[in-house]
Amino acid sequence: QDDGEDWGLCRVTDVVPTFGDAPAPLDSASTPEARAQAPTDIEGGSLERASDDENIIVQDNVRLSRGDQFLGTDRLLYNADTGRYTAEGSIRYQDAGMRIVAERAEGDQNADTHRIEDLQYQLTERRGNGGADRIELRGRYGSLIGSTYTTCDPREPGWQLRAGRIDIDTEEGMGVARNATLRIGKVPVLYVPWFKFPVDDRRRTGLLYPSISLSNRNGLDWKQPVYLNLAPNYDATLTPRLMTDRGLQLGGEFRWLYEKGRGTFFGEWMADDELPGREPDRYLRSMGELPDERGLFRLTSSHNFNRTWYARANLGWVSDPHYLEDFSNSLYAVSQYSITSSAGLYGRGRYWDAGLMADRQQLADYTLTERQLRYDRLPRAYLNWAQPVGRWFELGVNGEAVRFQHSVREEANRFDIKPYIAMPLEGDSWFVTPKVAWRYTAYQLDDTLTAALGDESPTRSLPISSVDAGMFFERETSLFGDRYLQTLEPRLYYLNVPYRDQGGIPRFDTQPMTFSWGQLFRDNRYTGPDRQIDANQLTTALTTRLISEEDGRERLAASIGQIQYFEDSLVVVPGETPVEKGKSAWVADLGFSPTDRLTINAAYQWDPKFRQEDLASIRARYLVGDYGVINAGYRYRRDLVDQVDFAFLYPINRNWSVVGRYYYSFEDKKLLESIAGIQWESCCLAARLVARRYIRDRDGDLDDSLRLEIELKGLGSAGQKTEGVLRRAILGYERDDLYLVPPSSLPTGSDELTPDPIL
Amino acid sequence: RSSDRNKPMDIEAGYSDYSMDDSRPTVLTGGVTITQGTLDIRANRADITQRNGEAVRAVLTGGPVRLNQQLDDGKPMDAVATKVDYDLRNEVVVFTGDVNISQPSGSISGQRIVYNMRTGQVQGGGEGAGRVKMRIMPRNGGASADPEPASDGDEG
Amino acid sequence: CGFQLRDALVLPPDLAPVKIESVDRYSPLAESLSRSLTRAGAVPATAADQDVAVLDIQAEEWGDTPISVDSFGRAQEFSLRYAVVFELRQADGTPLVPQQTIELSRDYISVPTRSEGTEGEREILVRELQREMAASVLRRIDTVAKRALEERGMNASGAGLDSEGVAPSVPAADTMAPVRGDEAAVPEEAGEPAHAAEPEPTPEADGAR
Repeated sequence: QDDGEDWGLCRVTDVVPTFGDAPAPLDSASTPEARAQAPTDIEGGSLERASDDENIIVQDNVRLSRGDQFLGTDRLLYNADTGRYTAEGSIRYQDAGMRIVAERAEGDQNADTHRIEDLQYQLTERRGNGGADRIELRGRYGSLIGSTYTTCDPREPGWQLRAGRIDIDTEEGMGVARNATLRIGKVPVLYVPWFKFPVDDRRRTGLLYPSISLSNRNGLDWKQPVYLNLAPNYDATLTPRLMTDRGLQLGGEFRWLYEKGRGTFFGEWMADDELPGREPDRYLRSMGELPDERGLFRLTSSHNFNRTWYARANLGWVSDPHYLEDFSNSLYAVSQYSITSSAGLYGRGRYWDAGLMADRQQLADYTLTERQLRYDRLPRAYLNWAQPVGRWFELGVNGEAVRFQHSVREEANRFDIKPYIAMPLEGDSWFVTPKVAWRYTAYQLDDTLTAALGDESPTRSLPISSVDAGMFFERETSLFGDRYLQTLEPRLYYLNVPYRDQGGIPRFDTQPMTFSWGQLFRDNRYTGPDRQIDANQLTTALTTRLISEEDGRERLAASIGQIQYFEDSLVVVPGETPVEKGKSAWVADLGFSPTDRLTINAAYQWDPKFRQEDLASIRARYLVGDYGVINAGYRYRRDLVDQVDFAFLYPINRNWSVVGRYYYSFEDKKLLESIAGIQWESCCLAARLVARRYIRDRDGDLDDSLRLEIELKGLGSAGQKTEGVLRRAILGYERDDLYLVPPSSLPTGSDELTPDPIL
Repeated sequence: RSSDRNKPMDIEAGYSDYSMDDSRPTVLTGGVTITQGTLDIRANRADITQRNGEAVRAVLTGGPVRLNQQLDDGKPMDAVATKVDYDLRNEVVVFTGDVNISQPSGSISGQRIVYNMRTGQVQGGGEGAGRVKMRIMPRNGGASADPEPASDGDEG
Repeated sequence: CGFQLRDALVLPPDLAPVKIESVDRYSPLAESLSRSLTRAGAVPATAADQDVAVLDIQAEEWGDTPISVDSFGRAQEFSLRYAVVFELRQADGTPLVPQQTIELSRDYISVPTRSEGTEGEREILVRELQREMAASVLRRIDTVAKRALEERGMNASGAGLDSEGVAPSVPAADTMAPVRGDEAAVPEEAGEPAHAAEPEPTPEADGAR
């Protein structure tokens, strides 16, 4: 049964084993109407009937079956006229939903009432078993008196729900339990006088399982989600939340789905939060006032017009820059410092892609100022088109028109267009692609910028010519007994761009890009058109690969490259020194995965001019067993990062696994996050104890949290879901994150929302 | 029907070997047909024993013997068996060998079934007589459409 | 040292007309793969074709997660990850290139105090990763195809008649005409010249940067 739980650890033996002689129940016959239509077959060692209207007595291994129902008993009394029956001795009952063994059963067929006493039951459609003193069935209603329910193997310690009385309405699909006690092992843990629960997996409005946690920041934190099944294609979840030290919060998520697209709206709102009052100066220093009404909303939606055009929207808003810090409990959430909302119409064709979109930034971090926020692009239109023309040429253009707005900084419009013509010549083992482009960029500046820079509409236009050439060599080698194809791929990239004085051009979205392998083959060193480098440079690079011949998997890919600057590159952004004539830093990359379980990625940059390392990073990931993972990584980037990160989820044996992370920054001599946790999981019970220290706020002081979570599989879990937190901290905690195995939610053929990488 | 008792019984057979006295049963072979009111029996051979001129017992064998009769409530009963031992005086029939008695409300089958025509008492199976099966048709569906609630036994 | 020039991008022998199925119909990956395969001589499947080889792009996932934070806990370095699960199946479902995952990633800096240009850099990286993924998928098809051809060739020289009792046609050089970039291969009915929109797929390391 796929009810979302992992029953992998459960032994196959059932509490009530299958009856060898019973026909396999077919689901289709299990509805009351189907049962009423089907004939009843009784079979026994001997049969007597005193007279026409007397009881029929069938004895000696009696077997009765009707539709999907099967009943085995030692002795059956049945009166054809009144429909009353009694079965005694080693009763075995089975239908599409369950199996029961009991001592005695009686009932009235015509009135469809039945009574089974002193029984053990085993659900077959869902995982679950237990016993009851008595079951009374009246058509669609059923009552279990003195019953127990669990999903555990009887031989293993687990949990058990014991209820004085459970009334079930099969048509409504709901059950009501009265004075129920929940036991873990022998210890009664929870007593509930009355609670209603679903008995089948129909979508219906009702309570979901609460999540309860305790923390010094929130006090007792009780989230009680309520699911609202509004319509087949839209539903909602309301989540009232009580935090004893802070107050009441209402959260809600609304989901909709329709033929052309879908969307989700998520919101949280808190009328007055007592937290700021407890530490007023933190807020006054950065905001000048105490926020009381606090909230957040997020909207993601998509609409597919046709094969070519589609629309996407990802909007977000927080009420104050302290919100993320005060309402999140993971380093991942705290690390966000701005919220980007974007919406647009996008199109893609055989040779082109285009978009008309807008995006807006909102400050979500009180240590930064509005001025440091990125520009809003309201609106932005772009077009990329590249089309082969004739037999030798390829024409194309990259164009963009943007209106930059900012709450504090100056504003402007910019138009940038780069038509190009290229001649991609290639053979089996070589390629040469000369390319000439002309870039024209024009601005319309607002008054303050015009006053500062003297020209209201500066322009810049210049040619960009480049030649990209490469060759491919191959040979067969064998390594550890396997046959590999080894490639050797030398590549040259020459770039020539004349100098244009760009001092008079302001900067909106332009900054030097991260120096990397990709940078060796780009025609500009900057992220945006506000600066176009002057260049007379040649990149020489070499890549070698080991590709397994048997299944095509690339076991090793190593490459090294460098740029030779024939002249100084004078174009800079403020605060940057010009690139001098000579050699750039060496860029070396290595991707090595000897087996499917181990992958190692390393990157290294050495600057010969200053004889220093710019970048040294290595990341290794090893997959342990079916769901374990070990990540180890060291990152050094000059003047920025010097950190080590070791994270793992290690399965010790079937039941025990340990999880941990150690993320330390040498540069700041400070621990950024450490996690230590242990998880015990049995067939029906999972318990997680996780201790965490992580940077909770911008003052950099760390927060300790200890989280105990007990999950009763089949009954929901109490305690904050720790999976989400761990999943962010340890890449690969959930195998789906690694996409190594086709994701469990592999969309089979459905046109998934285009995974917008900007999200 | 119980009224069949006082209806004329006529017997037809391919070959008959009458015996005038009670010492030896009359043997009819070559396809025997016995009818009496709504009772109708077909068999290959019939041994009928008489007591002072009145048929008291009929042992029919056939491949198989067919017996059908309309019961007091008007519903037909058809029975099939390899051997039928019919005690005419107290109307008890012992069917043996692949027996199947079917009525609109259901059917009984087994290796040995004793059926009392007058009281409706049934006894099937028992030691050495193999298992007995009974099928009860659903009340509204099934073959018989008569309004009377047929015995519709099923287990909840 | 044994290296010689690479021979033509090769397709598995007797490959049925190729159809590319992609889980995300707006992704350029399927488009660039179909252009490259057509250039390498594959026949694009039309609706009329019955038995069709399928290049099945089963999953395409992007991930953009912070990989390092500064001492205040603010993200400063990101890793843009792009992973594709694909499989190439012959018409009767037998896998030519078994289901496998290709995972590429590029790291980039976005320092909180001067983060302008982050979207611009990310967009450039997305394009580069998309182009590199197409090249990586092609390389794997090429390697497996070369192996299949070799085995076919060895059978011919070795066992004469292969198991089906038919002398395997050793692919003479010209029948598998290596496609020159400029030389129009078999003109498809679609009428556009067999010409890649992008330059020959750029060889870049297939692994994290």
